Amino acid sequence: MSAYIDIGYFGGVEDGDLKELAYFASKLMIRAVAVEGLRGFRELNNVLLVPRVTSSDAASLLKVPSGVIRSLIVKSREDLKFSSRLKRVMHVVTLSKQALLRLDRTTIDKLIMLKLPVELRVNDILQLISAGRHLTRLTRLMRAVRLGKLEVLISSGASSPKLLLHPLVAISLLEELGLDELLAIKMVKHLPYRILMSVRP
Amino acid sequence: MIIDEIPLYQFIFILVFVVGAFSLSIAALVLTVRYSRWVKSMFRALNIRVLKRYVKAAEEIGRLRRRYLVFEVIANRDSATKEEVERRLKEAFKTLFGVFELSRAGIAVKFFDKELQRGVIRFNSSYRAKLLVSIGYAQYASKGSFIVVPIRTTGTLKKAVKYVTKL
Repeated sequence: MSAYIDIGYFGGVEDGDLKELAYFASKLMIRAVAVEGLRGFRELNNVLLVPRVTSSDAASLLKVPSGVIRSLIVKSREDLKFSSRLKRVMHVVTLSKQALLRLDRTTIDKLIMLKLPVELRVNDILQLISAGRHLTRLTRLMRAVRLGKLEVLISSGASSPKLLLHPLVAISLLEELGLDELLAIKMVKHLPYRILMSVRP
Repeated sequence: MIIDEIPLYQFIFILVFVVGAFSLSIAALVLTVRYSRWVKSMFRALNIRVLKRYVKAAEEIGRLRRRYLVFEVIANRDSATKEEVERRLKEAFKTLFGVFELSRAGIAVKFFDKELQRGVIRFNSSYRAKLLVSIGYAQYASKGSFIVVPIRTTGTLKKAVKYVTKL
């Protein structure tokens, strides 16, 4: 397994958009992209496009058919209150920009209790950095990752194909946030692969 | 008595040994008291935190080597020039890490082939992660109109230029 996977693309799903997405993904050494709102698996330009559904309502993910990556987007710790039955439905918990700013000890403890991979979107982090916001709370999350309590995976969170990021950039960002290189590679490479394998028919 | 049973030369030997050991321990005690401050400072030097600092400094000295990153630019052909690539990367680096770190990172575009849209960036090896994050930030700041794709890192400029033309 030497391919990189981007688990979060949130742009258009028209044929033209997907072709452009596949072109940029192949340029950036990405072999599979999870596309929000895509219907069914597709392969373009040797890039596998995987359907993905993101919702802020955990119950609505129950209706999503199999073969789709299901993600719960979290804005505050209140969104993490759901039954264990719903927990089994989702593949990943995505932290929104608001959640990144409000990450406190209780929220991190709740995320640890869930035992689900937590998705961080690079574009969200860069947006917060450029706005001059403090990311000290994110460092706290990284501490839990370092201690092996939590798994974090990183996606580009791109809203257009041109904003897809090179996997090395994602790895370097994690390194700068306090993870060692091996752990960062695991979060960018192995964890998305595991999720992809769990949904692939 | 026991003393009567052992020969005289053995008795003298034991006596000299005991007196010698006693005088040595007294001398050691005097020296310890006299040089206690020096001994204390020596133990302080062996403190784990200080050792860590020394190890880190030694690592940094070892790590400070020049590296060359082969890259490809995906942008408008007119806007992708050597100067423009350097300006955008330096700007992104400065925004993220500041002027001081920029000067230490030693970032410079050493080679750029306008036809192939590929080039080579020189940087100090310990700043690799920071440079790559800056590449990502430059892409984000330009809203995807200027993308630098890192291809390979080499140890010499000659090898890097070879990769640019060979790829």
